[in-house]
Amino acid sequence: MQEKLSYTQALILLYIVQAGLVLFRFPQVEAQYFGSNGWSALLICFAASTLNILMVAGIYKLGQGKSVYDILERTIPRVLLFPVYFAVVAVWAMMASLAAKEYIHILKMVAFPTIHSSVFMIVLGLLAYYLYGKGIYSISKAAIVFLFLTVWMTLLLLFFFSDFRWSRLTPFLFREGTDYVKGFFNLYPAFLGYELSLVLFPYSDKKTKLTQAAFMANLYLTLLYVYVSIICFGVFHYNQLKHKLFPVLDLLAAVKFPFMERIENLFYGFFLFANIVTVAVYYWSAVETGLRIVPKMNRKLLGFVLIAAATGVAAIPDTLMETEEWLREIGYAGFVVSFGFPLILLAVLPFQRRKGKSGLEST
Amino acid sequence: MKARKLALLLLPLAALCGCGQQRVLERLGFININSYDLLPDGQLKMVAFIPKITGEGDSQTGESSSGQTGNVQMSGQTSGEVLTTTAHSSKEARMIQSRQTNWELVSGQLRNTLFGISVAKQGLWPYVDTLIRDPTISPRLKLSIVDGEAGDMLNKNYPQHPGVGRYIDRLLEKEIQDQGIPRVLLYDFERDYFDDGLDPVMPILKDAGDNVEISGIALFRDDKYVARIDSKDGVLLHMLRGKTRNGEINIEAPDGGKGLSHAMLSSLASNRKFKVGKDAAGRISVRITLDVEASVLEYMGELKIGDDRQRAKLEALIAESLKDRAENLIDLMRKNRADGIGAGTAVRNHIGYAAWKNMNWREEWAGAKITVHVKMKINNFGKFR
Repeated sequence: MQEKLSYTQALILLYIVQAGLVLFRFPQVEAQYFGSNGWSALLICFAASTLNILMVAGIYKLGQGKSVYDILERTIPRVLLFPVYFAVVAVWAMMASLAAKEYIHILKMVAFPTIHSSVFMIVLGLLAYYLYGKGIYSISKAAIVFLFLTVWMTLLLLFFFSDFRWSRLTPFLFREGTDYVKGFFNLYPAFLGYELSLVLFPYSDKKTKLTQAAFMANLYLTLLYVYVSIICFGVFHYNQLKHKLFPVLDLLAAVKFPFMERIENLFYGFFLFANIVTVAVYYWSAVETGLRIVPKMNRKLLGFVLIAAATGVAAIPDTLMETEEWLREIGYAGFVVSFGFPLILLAVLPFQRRKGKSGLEST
Repeated sequence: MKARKLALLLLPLAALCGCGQQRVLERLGFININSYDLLPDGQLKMVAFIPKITGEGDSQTGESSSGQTGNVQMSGQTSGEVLTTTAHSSKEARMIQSRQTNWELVSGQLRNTLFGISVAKQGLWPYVDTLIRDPTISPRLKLSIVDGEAGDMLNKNYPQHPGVGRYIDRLLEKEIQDQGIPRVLLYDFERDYFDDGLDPVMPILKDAGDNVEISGIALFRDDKYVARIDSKDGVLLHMLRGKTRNGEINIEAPDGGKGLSHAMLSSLASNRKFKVGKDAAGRISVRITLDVEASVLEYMGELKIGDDRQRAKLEALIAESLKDRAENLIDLMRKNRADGIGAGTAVRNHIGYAAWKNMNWREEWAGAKITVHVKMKINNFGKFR
């Protein structure tokens, strides 16, 4: 019998996948687009992502946990589905490679300014490939270990207790922001990752409570984001935050222990673990979808080809600004996939229930 | 198996990444303090101090082996190397300095930056901006102003305190701890600069012969130095800017018409509160309440601090004196249109966004009715009644 994911595994896996992207710069996005108390925009994103998870829950229930690809292919001819699959594969693979690229650009900036990013990209691509090759169960087990390697860092922010001022948050809501709609779409990628639960259907059973795990992961993530953001808004001024590219890194850089300081590069190194899980799971999901286009292809080979291709494409933007621009664009595409894919499924499912019922009646 | 072999082949590649950019500790010159001065021709004079790795106890009393090359002067000094340069920008200066030393200069251990008063009057933001931008520079870098030329302080030999970088760093660290001066790290200055309801402040250092002395605190309007307050009012400024937990202040109070009495308040803890309202003329008024508790271990005056009644009288006298001093301090700030205590943040948060944006706080601050109320409590007077 195929081993199924446990509730905790699914929860931690989805949580880490969500937290792996744009973690270092989201308070800047809040300040730039929403202005004062921009952190409250997280609640709007939380509402939207919860709605999206409810859609996933609906699909799981209506489809009785069947693979989403099987559901689609029962109603829509496979040829017609190919463009959808292509789009999903491309978006997820590029999200993975660009998330890796951004991590590397920051690493370059803080520690290795003269080394070409492709050296790191190849190494990170290989790491992601080996993790991906182990399959989703092993990734989820690794995710639990990686969670413990990073989660303690949230405690570091208590260090800012004495610097924090509520008065700095101001009582104003969304003043001096720029474009709320654009802001929403730029902030939302910080939440993306839960949509991969769609691919996890065949790897879960009733005990997994997959959609509940996705909801809880999203809730914990939102709490983490709100906590980090409020500290950012109370330690920095929101006008200052607008100018900071990576406010969370700046916070970590200001941490000082009695015996040591300036260890943000060490902290940053730990985030590699969260990043690699995000990258590997996005690649894994892309391959799962890709296998529907070329079902006979060897899974590992497809993974290798896909990772190599995505890494190659991610090599095109060579500056940090370009990478960010690409990441923004792919974030928009990710948003479309996260809502579009479930919408297609929800459109298809009612027909199948009717068909299923009539099928039952006829036998 | 194949995959495993491939991994074995590729693993060295990952490990070799580390060789791409080597930093050999023995070859690095860690700048731990630097300074900026503005020359009459508009160029920057920058001095960097690199401590010797042999440590504090080293007693090399070197003659200044100054070798002038172009506009760069190098001198080997006790416990460190001093590099002096003139350039158009700080990074250019670093480049020139780098050509004059056998060390590979790095800023990762830069703990202090001193600005000459000439630079501070022109505005610090362009220099602070570079410091923030550089990811190798710590946001915990301490910023100070030097009364006079900052470079001279680094070039000077303080025989009692070898290693000027460490000496100044510890001096400031201790004073910050004792709350005699406000803590001004790079990110504090940056934040106060961006905050529209608060102006930055910065400690002022002065060469006092054999020592370096903290001579006052600079008040800024945005990033420009506008005025200074005396170092004896440092704790008071700290009290007016927020919570104080371990201050010490000397109070002079009139003593029943017979002259002045002196009381030393130690272990001083204080809380500050703003209350914003409007006066009869419709102008903004801010009432500042200081809730002060302290122990009095030294008192020279007519009153008996062991006596409850007389102690209450002393408390009232101290409160009155603190109030006068605080109001004088605030008047100085208002005269210079600099809000170093952050009253603007309270006003901003009280009056609403639209009203705040329509208001020119600097002008309003100069004319607003600001009152200070001090609640003073002596919580002990030592072990002798």
